[in-house]
Amino acid sequence: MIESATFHVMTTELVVGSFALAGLCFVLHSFLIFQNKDSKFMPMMDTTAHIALLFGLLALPFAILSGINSSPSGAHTSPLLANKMLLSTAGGGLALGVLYARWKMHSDGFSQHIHNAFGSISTGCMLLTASLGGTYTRADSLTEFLPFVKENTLLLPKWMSIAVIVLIIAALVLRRSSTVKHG
Amino acid sequence: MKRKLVLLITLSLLIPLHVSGNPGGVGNGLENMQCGGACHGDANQNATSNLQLSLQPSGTVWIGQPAEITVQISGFESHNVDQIGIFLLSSTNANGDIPTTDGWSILSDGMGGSNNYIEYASIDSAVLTHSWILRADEIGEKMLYVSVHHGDNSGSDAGNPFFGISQAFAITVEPIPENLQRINPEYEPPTSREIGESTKLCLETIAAGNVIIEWREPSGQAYQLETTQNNECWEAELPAALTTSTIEWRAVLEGEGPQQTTPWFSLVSAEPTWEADETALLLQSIAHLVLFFGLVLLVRKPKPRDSEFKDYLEENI
Repeated sequence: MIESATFHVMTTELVVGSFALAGLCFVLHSFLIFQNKDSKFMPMMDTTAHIALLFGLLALPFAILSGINSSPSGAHTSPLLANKMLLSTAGGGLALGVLYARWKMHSDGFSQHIHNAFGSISTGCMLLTASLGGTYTRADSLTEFLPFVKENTLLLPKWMSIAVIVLIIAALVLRRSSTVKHG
Repeated sequence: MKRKLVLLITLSLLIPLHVSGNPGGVGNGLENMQCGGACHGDANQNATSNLQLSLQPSGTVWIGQPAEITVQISGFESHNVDQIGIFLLSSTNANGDIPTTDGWSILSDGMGGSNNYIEYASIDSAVLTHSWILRADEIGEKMLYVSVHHGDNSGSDAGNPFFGISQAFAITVEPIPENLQRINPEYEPPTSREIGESTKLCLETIAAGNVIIEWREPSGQAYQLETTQNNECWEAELPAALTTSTIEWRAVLEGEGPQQTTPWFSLVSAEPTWEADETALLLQSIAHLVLFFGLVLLVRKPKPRDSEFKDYLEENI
């Protein structure tokens, strides 16, 4: 039987690889739009970014769950692990939003740069999460210049988290219903 | 432009990166021998360590009783080592070789945990001695190995990872005489506590007429504690520590048989650990997922649902 820690390494590599590819393609896509030249690479970058993002997103739950299982005491016992969990869910949320927007709202005239920026920030969150994993297991990573991420966690009270969830869901529902024109 | 890009990528792949193992160590834990190679990044990079490794029990190893296994590492003159990882293993299979898989329980690793792998952040003497407290759950002969991995800071070996493993050391686990006073085989000694917290011991014994508890600072003078019997449990209170430190304690058991003395159990006092509310963290994670998902959608201008129909009408009528 494969150990959680080993499985976590495998799934993390899938997530990081996919997100890194997606992030690179988002940036290049914006770069090509910025150049304002008709290029065959433009749709290629856009498609690759979203497919890679989707693949990374599919592997993400496995990475999060195996990560929680491979920590003997749980994510709540270390600020670094807590930050990993919060960053990965933030990145996952952004990725999910980017994919949903691309699927359902692609032709609404919204700035492609902002869309790509969200995709790139999602990649940034995932790479930072992976780097924190390096700090946790190897005491060494590329983000050693960010000491506050290792020592502090901005933890909200339960009621505030619930309020945020309710507020956003309500906003999404209201937004959806307001799109139906009456009269 | 394309050529420059290809040249840049090729050059960046050719430039060798400075690769070192785990300069900060991997932390104490339950690790297989495989970590001795792979925890340095790549097992193929490892050179053979010249350190001399030995292992011996401090006395007779009885079944179900704590036994001190002392490891000695010498030969530090051949390597300039500042940090070393030491494994206690039951085989050299590279996986499934933690002693707990071979009928041992690790009661103490001497560093506040129950791990088979521990790390020393610095080496202060020519010979490094470290003890584990194990408990054998089966009678018979068992093999134990000691293994190390470390770096080297000097000469041509600078930056290289090193790995070494000892020969097999046979440990004979003997049956315990029926009326010999002893600790209850289920007893787990405390290994760590927080600073400022005293420790109440409740030592469960079998066939013991009297129990004396002694404590000391490592290799310091021993002090005796008063014990009171409460059924099969001998109670005593170890004093609180004022700073991060380690004390050792042991029990002297008197009864029908010859006096029995347990190994010194290490008790580490550490700063209070960081702990957050697990439910709050879980809720915030969900909140992050929903918030950032919603953010991406909510910044977009809502598109009327009937716009497609309207567009169609405008185009065709």
